[in-house]
Amino acid sequence: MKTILRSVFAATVNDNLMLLQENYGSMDASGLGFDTLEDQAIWRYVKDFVVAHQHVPNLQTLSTHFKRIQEMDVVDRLEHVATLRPKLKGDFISHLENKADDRRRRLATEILKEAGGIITTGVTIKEGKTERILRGPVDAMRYVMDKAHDIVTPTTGARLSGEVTKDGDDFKREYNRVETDPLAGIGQYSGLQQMDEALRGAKRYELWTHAAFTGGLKSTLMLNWAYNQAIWYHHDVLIFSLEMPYTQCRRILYAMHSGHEKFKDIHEAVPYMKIRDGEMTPEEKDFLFKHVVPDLNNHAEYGAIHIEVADPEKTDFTVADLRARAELIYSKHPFSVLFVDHALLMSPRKWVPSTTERLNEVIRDCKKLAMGFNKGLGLAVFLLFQISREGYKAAEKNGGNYNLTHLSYANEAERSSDIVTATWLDDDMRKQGQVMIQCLKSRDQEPFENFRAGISWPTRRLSTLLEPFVEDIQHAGEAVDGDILEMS
Amino acid sequence: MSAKSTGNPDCPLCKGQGYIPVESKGPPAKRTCRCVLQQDLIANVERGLKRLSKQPPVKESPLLKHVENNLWINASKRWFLPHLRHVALRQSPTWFFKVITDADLMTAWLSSAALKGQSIFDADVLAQAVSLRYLTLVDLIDPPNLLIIRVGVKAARNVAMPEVFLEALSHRAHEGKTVWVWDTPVHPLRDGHLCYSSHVEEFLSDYGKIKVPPGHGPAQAVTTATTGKAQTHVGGHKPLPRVSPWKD
Repeated sequence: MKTILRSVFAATVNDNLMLLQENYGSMDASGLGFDTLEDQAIWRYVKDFVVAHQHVPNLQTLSTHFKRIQEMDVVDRLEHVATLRPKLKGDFISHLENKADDRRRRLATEILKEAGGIITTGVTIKEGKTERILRGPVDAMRYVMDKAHDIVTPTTGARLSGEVTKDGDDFKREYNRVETDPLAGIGQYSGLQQMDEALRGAKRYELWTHAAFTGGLKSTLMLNWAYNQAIWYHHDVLIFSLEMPYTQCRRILYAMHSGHEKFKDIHEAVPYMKIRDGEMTPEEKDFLFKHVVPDLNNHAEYGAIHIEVADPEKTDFTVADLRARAELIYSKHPFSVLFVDHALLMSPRKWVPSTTERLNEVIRDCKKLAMGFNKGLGLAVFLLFQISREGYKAAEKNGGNYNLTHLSYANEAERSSDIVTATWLDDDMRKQGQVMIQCLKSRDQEPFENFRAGISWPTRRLSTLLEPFVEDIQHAGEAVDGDILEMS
Repeated sequence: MSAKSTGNPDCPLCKGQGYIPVESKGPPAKRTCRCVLQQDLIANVERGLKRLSKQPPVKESPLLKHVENNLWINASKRWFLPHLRHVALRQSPTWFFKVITDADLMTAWLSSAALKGQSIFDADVLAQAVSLRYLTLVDLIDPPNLLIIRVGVKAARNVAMPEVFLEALSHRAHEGKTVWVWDTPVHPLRDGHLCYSSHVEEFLSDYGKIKVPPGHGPAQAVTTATTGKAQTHVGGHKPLPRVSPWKD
């Protein structure tokens, strides 16, 4: 457990506070404790410190505190623990899982031993102020079922079941954890300001369906979101691309990164088409290979963008296949959001005759994946969905406004999704380098009003496009009038 | 899939980029430059009504302050369209307005009947064959921020016309969205008009009224004052930021 303890405070200048804070969150949620009194004292102080300051303490703070209260054993322990290397991200979670497994094993053995006692001799247990005698096989099995929550609960504390009217303590603990976490209630941001401010990102347990017609920038939005998550917010992401091959996604992401603001004084962005067709100028190639690629590959803080394509040997790629691979990847690289491109290319678990039924089944399974991923830990799932030609035509007549009926050929998209968004663009907007984003459903918060995002076509990079100022509109309107008056 | 920047290369603000970067802690954000805004506004005006941007400019318009109020405007096409253009050019390029006619209302209302294979006895609708342009009346009237209904285009009699018109007005009122009803001095909305009924008149009594005498040119000031109680728009477009950091 000392490695775990080392991973929740900073001891060197190279320690990444954000990742240590994530470790702290996972450890706190796991409910695991420490065996020795010294470790327990350190952990207690770390918890109090995070509650007060919203970040993890460093070695000096801890050391000063324990020296001041004359706890020299704890100071010695602290100095020993500080010499270890902290584990971060997936390594930390795996380590925590192992420790939690040990605990589960011990706990399960104890519970079964107790159950054995109940069957044979009977056991007296305390329930609040009253005492109750459990005796016989029925009581024993009830006892096992009651205690099973603690065993099957995922390590990071997601509850799979419980009795709400007796669960006040856990409820209070959960609230206190949320209150002290500066990122509580915030999901994985897309990088588009209007959407993020309104919906606060894609959250765990939620299925976010994004719909658009062919060429409506579904995959582009997904890749931009994944890029922003990794590069700007430093979270790992996983993409299941069933439409585009791995190399195509990779090319787009490198083209996007070439347009990163940090390179603006070095070179302008390299268009995707030139990378694809091998038509870069020597300067562009030099810039891409010497600046963009090393930065994307070696930057310590960037999250990882894992891209998985369907197994070429398998004709049917189901949500169950996807889940198995995602859980395997998660054990090494705990990603924050899973993107699926797109629903129509997934297969249902069992054969069904119609497209509607097939899609409904896939969407239902995706919602179950969001809820039950990794033994109930949950995950934000972002699913792309193709709108039918009829839906597109209807929206065209409504000024580009989709509604949920345009998804009705797979009615589960409307029912199972927590959030439904859509993108729209016509020829004018394409020329203007703009795309309209709309919210068709939002279960847990107010939906946002339609807004436009900017798109740089050469790199496929989407960016927040803020509404113009009133006086700029007035100025532009007058300028249009002025131009016409001058011409006449 | 490629489209080049639409910015003016000589623009001193954006230098042809079309956008001004906005400071942001996260991924990049930008705001449309004034030079591109002009094109966006013209495109939006055309989306509302084809060829509206070609109307002559007017210096000011009494309609501008009523963008969020229900109005009943009695004016000629020659007067109304330049004023509508003036208003539309002073809204956000994402402002959604649409000019439809009473004939469109009837076509949309009858389209669901046509889909069911029912016989339709309406000369205007039959002339266009069965329309699938809008599957329901709501598809037509609900989406815009400002809906402008031009009455008097429908020529063939249909007894349901006043009721369809009233339904459209009631639906918009229920949704808290603004409507402008536009009739002309030569064919005013009164007894004998295909859209008229006492219920319609009663409904419109709450609307602000602008009456422009026949023969008034677009540049001439309207002497007839607005009457009636304007109904304030409840829902709708988000107010835009007022202060610009860009100075001329």
